[in-house]
Amino acid sequence: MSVPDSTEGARILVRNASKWYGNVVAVNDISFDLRAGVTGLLGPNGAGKTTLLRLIAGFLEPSSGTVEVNGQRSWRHPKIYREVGIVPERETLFPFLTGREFVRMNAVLHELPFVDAATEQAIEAVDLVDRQDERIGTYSKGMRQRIKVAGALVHDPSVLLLDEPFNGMDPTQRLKMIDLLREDAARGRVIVFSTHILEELHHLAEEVLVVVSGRLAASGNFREIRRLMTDRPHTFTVRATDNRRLAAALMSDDSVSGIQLQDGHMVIQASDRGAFATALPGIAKAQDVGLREVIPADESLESVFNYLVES
Amino acid sequence: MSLRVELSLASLTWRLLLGRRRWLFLPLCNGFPVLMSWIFIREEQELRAADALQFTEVLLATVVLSVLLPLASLIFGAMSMGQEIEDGTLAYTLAKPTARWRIVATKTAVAWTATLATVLPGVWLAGWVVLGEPGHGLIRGFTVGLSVAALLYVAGFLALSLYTRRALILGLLYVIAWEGSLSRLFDGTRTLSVREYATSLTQAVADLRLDEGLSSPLQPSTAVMLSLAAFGLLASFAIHKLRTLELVEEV
Repeated sequence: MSVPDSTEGARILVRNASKWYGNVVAVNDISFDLRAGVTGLLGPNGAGKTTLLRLIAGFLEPSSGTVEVNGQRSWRHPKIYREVGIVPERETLFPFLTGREFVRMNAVLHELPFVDAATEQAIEAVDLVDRQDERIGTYSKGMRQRIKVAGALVHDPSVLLLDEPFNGMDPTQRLKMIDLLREDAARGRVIVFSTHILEELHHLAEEVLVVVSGRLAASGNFREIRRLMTDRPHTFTVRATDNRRLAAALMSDDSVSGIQLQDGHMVIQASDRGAFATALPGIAKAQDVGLREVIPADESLESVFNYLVES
Repeated sequence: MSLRVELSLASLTWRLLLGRRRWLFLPLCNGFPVLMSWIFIREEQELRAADALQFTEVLLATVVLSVLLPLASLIFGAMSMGQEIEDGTLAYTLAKPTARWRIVATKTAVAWTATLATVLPGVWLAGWVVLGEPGHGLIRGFTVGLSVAALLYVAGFLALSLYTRRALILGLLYVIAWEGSLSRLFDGTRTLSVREYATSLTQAVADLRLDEGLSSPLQPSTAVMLSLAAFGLLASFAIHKLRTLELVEEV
């Protein structure tokens, strides 16, 4: 698909935006400025990613702060939708419409001059030509995601917002979608998508915004964020034939930042996970200590994000 | 201004309202007064014109105007937007540069049409069965009265669905409690009843006064003025609410 000239000034500007419902703060004083390219919103479920996307989309009124798309406040300005395409997370679509009817309806509601050509182009872009005349109710989850993307792209918006767009897509579909979004971003479109999976950002997002508990926990390019996440201290539980002797030897290793001797085992803080994993067997062998159990602590996504917030 | 947007929205709304076998509501509601009329003429050996007229008045005023019409309006009015709010698909309509009043006007028109399709053919057929002619003055009167009442109910229930997710329950309470009994307690409260406006207009067009207990003391001109004011107010509420509607995700 071609991206219109209007993308030249495409920009999303969020300044000290907050959104709360009663006592619940969904988004807390977030600011960023996005221009052409792909930005990933990363965070655990319930972090506030969807709320943030809805604030940008003009579906929610900021409780404080401002949200602007292409220089216009998004709340209560339906005209911004000429320049904005939105792919909501919820799967529900109109099951009685065919894929083509759905995309066509979007084109008509945007009052496009060449509805059929735009519809055809959008369906081709998401590779659903063969299934376009089937009812959406018969589509798989991945196909529904793609037809939603086609509906959002049909008017060639300069800003595209996608909420968990890869949900339900198989690896091939995912790669095709990644290619499509990268091509569009290269032509000047501002693309923002949310995900709770770090690796989804790997091939797509140039910039990453990490949102945790409604706050912007970190921002930067993908490599920086991944380094932050992998270079943090890791915890291991180790059970050996002689815990005290092994602990004394490990304390002199650079990869270890702390050890706690507990009832029959040790809890080891490793500052460098890879180096520790490599060094541990050698040190144990040198001390003639047998390793009975080495268990990395539970490292749920939540704990990784919490580390980012704390640091 | 092209009407393509309105036609597309109308087609979508129509399919939403009458999909999933909800179209069965049409023959069921239309069939009921016809069936009652057929039973009536079968029971009456010597049908007098006065009895036929009285039966039709009672049937249309109590069954159609008081029960079927408010229920159909409630279902179609509240669902024309409420269903999309509930399942999140309203986002696809609202993420468009379409003026919000155009969306409200189209949805109201479709819900109104669906409501009329649910009751009017049955009214005409019942009139034909009992009175021998579908174009009888009484039937013309009820056609106008029911149409006005349907428009007001639909506008009200559509607006209600934008303010609360319990529109169906609250709407039902309104129909039963207010329209069904409370509004008829005092003369003053009659001026705030859709049913009264409809009855007054029916009487004016039919050029007769319905039987005691069914009739309305409201002047037709007053009914017209109040209907216009109520419709304007309800449509304004709906448009204002749609402009400021927040699409909050399910948590």
